[in-house]
Amino acid sequence: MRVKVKRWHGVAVWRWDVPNEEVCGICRVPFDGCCPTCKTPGDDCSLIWGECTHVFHMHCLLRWLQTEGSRGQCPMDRRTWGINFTKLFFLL
Amino acid sequence: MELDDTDLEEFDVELPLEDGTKLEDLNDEIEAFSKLCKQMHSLDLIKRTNDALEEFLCDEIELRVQNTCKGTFDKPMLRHSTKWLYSTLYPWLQIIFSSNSQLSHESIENRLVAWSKRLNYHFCMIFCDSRISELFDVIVDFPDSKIAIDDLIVCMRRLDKDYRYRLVESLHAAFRKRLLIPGAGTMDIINTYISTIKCLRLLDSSGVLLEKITGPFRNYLRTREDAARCLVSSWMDEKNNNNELIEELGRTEEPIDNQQDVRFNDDNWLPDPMDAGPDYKSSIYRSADITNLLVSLFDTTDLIIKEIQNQMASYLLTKTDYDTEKELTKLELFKLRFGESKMSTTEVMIKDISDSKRIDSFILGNDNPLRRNMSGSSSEVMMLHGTVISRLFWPTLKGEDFDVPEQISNEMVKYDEGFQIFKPRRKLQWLKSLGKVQIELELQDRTLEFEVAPIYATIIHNFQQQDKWNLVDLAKKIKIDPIILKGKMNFWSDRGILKELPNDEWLLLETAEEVDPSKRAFASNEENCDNIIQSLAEQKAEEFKMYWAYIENMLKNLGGMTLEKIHNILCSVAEPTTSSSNSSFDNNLEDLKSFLNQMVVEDKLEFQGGLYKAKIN
Repeated sequence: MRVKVKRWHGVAVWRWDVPNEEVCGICRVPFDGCCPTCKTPGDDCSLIWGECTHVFHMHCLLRWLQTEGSRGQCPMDRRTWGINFTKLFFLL
Repeated sequence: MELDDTDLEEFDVELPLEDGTKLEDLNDEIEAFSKLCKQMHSLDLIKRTNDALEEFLCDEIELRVQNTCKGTFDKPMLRHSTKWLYSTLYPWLQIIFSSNSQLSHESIENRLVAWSKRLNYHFCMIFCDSRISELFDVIVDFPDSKIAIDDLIVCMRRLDKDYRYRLVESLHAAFRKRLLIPGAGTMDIINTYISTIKCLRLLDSSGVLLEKITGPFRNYLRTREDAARCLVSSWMDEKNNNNELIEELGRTEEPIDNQQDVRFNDDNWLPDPMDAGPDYKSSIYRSADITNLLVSLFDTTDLIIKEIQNQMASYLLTKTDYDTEKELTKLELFKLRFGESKMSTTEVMIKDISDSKRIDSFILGNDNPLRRNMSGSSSEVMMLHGTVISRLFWPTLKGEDFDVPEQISNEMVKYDEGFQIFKPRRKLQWLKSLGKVQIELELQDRTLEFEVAPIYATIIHNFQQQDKWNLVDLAKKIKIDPIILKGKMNFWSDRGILKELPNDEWLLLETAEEVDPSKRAFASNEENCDNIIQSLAEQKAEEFKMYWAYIENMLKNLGGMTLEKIHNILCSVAEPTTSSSNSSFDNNLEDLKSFLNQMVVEDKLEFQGGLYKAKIN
């Protein structure tokens, strides 16, 4: 017998390349979900990686940085926030 | 007095003469009758027959309604019968009245009018009673029976309000006896409910009748667990058998939750009708919006939204052409109905499919750098297409993991690599049991094509290298539980491709064998039975499992508790889950009860005297 596969339509889920089951440190929503102001995950609500290796929903972090109390620091370790450009590069 | 009787007997024989009698005969009859009347008048007997006459005429009308109107819903029986009254019944009356030669033409006319008024009213009553008693059948036949409803409207307008109650009561009884019984299918009940709404909306624009009828329906449908599923599946129906229901879906100005009972700036506002009951919500019943009434069967729209998501998910996952046009139209209708925010999850699901189309054409197209490099060396065509979904926005998908054929798993890796170029910092995880495979089997004597679930394709693919497999070996090869595999093997043996041998061995049939036709028929739809999405009940049980450890410890430490107490404690301590797709702790008492009872059945709890107790091991 010969089996000829004409077309294989599979189903896959996508995940952000972050450790499993992690949630955004700001909104506590899983990274694969979206920040509280967004409705669609993925392209419309991407992540941002900091120099300090912390990851957040980009919208969450930008909103955090706009608040006065943030003083431009990472909310997790209070180091000055800097974007990890090697990771951001791919996003652009 | 003896004469009276004979007179009426004669009358009795004469009157039913209708079509079919020859005109001359009829003329003779009329002449004879008019002569008889004159003789009776000269004996002064006519006056004394009035009561008997009236009684007889009423009987005649009843007979007429009974014989011709009953059961005929597609002809304007009211008009037919009125015609009969005026062309057949009243002329005889006229003969009787004109036997009195002293009466002027005018007074005969007056008497005739007075009699006909009385008789018309009586006819109306009889007709109305008859229609009310068979209203259930009228509703079932609707819209073919619309004429019957129109007739009833005309009659009801002439009769007093009492008939409205009679209608409600008779309909209630009919529903209880014929529809709201375990033997009736949920879909049939819903369809009848829809027809009922339409009929009563015609009969009574205020909706009071509807509200009174709806009660038993609502209570009964609530006991049907599949009510929401049936309702949603009729909305989602691809074949559009329920076109009207879908049309109704779009006919709204405001989403359900925003509708207020009283609108203060409504110039056409009317107070609720006099006979409205306490449950009467004017906005719903007055507009008699079918979708609203159906949806209001359920306490919250959440159940329906979840069902929509589930059914939408199964529709979308069976798609291989990425065409979401139909689903988008449905989505727009649902949005109008339930509000945009509630449908956002479903929107993401549909968007996933259309995004998948772009992803797929990128990965398989020439823009993909990996592919460009590859095509130089080998010109192999990718067999694999993919649907990439956002996991948190889809219902929990069931499915076991297994090893797909090597060729495909290689392509899956390539697909993932391509995806990571298209969507940086993201990766794919294949749900191997989902999807669809088109395969062609070339056997010695036949070539067959199938469209099957991946697991079946994987099984048959393995028979390419060797045509005899032991179940356990094959299970090891594709890394799946042998018990699950065994069930799946039947798919191919039912189709006459594989044959089960003793000792759990399976043999490929290179040449077709005679198959028992009864077996074949039994096999036909087995694949469709595989439900890929967890049912709502399963999802609920899953939700409770989160709390199970807590409940168990609580019962161990604090002793037995009543259902209500457990529920109270859970409500006060359970923190709303934050993930966007799961709702907060909204589990009601009923669900908790069924979960706890399930635990009792599974022998993890004890139930004694109204208290749930932990099992002491």
